[in-house]
Amino acid sequence: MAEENTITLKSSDGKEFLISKKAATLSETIKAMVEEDNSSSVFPLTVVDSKTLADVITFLNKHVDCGDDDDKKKSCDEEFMAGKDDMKDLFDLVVAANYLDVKDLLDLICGKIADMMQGKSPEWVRKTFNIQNDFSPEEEAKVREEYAWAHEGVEED
Amino acid sequence: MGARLSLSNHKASSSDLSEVSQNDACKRQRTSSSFWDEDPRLIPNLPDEIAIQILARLPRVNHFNAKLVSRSWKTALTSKELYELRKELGTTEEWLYILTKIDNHKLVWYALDPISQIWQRLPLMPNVAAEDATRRGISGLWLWNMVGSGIIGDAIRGLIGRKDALDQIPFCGCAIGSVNGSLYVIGGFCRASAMKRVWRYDPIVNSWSEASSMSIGRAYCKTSVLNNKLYVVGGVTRGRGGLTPLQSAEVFDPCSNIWSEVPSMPFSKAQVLPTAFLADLLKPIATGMTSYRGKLYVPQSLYCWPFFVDVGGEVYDPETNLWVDMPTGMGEGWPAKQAGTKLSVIVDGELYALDPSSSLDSARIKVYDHQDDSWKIIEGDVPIHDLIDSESPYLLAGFLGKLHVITKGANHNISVMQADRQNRFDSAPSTSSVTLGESLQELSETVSGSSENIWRVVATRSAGSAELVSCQILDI
Repeated sequence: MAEENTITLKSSDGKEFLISKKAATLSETIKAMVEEDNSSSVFPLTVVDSKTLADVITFLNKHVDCGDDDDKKKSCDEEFMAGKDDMKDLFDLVVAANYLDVKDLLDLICGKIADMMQGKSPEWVRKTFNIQNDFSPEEEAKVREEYAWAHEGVEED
Repeated sequence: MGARLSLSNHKASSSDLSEVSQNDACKRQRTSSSFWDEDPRLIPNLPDEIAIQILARLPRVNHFNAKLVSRSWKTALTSKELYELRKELGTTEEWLYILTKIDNHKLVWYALDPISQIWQRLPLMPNVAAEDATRRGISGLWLWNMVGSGIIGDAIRGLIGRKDALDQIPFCGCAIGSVNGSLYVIGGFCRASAMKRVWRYDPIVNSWSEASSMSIGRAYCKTSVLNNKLYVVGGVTRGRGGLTPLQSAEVFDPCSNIWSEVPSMPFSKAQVLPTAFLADLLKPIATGMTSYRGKLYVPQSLYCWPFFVDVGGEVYDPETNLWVDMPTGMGEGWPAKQAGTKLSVIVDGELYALDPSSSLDSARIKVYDHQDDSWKIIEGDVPIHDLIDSESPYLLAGFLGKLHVITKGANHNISVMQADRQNRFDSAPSTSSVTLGESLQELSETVSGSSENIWRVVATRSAGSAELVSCQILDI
């Protein structure tokens, strides 16, 4: 049903999603695609898989419903983020949000990941993000020294 | 105006102090050639442009741990780009920086993150004493009889008569300021000579470096920020005949690292003294400075040890580049703290001062009403102790949009107290100057009880023998 006000988004693994134009064009990337090609109704998104795209579409639809009501958006966002703790899923979402240029979603996911890092040790961060510690022992000692100086005699008393 | 007094020399002067290049904070660096094109990525499975978006949302109190993750994380977290992005995203955080002085005149800065209530100690300032090769005798100190008492020289006074005492103190009488996200420590005495040197603390790299020097040495000068430039006025310097009060002023542009000339304070009140004898005897001194409604307000005193007379003050308007007399009511009502210094703070566009005179163990906050040219008392005693003992028993700060008083109590704790203004206008979404002005006119000197400051301690830390010197806010 190729209605005027809906378009179809096609994920990298070939699944199709029907979405209102209004919701879809919250993505600056899709907006540009639609403006460029008025005649098409199916838009392939080669870098977003179906699982992630389904999530993105849920988010876009929620935000269209919320309109300009920031309080409503906030509670929608909380609902949307509930249970999203898997780092791989979050990474997929944030890459999609960045590619599709959905500022609100990028904000939300980046904020979530930053929140998860709060109060965590460098070791936790390295393990979680699969980062190599490439400091030389001397370099690492220097940073630790700076840390120790800043906190010495501060928390104890 | 704006004659060049010094050329940009930051490259040479900072290279030995900071391994990160101290580029102009105002210039947005191109991101294309910066760290996130280099391998390895900040986060292996994410483009760096996204990783930096995540890091920019990480509260600063976590930065020390995050800097330990990897080289690229350390580079990213100490980059201007990250802090530019924080500005764009609105994720900047205000921290309170408190300068304390320990027994031996050692100056130590602490930073307070109000959210986590965690204090951090800043790296020590470079030992300027060791670097200043010009040793001078203390013969010039006779003039301290003239200017060296309470107003500007409490720290020095005790040292007079103690041989070589000045040689032992690293430095004192430095002025403190902050502009463009950095702290500045300006001038001061080093071995009895007033210094031109200026030190800058950059919180992004957590280190000190030297900024351009002032045109002349100044100790105990007053500072304020207007239009993102740091102004200094007055202070004393060491002239041929000893220590001389200064009327001159200059302004520092943190973007160009250049000091420029500002017209000297006319001290018009000092010029109408009846006799040449008095004019020679009474030295004009700037006792404070605040940036208010687009101009610089400088309260002044005429001083002859051990007496001083408040003579109102003068106001500098950067648009006309002229000084004019301060409104009478403002000058008369501006409360002085110990040693004649006139502290003040701007919160939400309003000028506040602390009046310690109401009783021994408490104080009142006054706010200036510019329409009325008068100071109005706000009800709600400020719980302050030990007003007499300390050189600087309290500090004022405009922090998180609220008035804060920092005190050191009898229990050796430094307390950071926040004022919550309780009045019937609280329900209004913003405190417009009209609303506040109206409420204050109704309030008047006899407190009606319609407005009250409720004081809440938001943070404390044990200070031992350390004394409060100054405080600044950085929002980065």
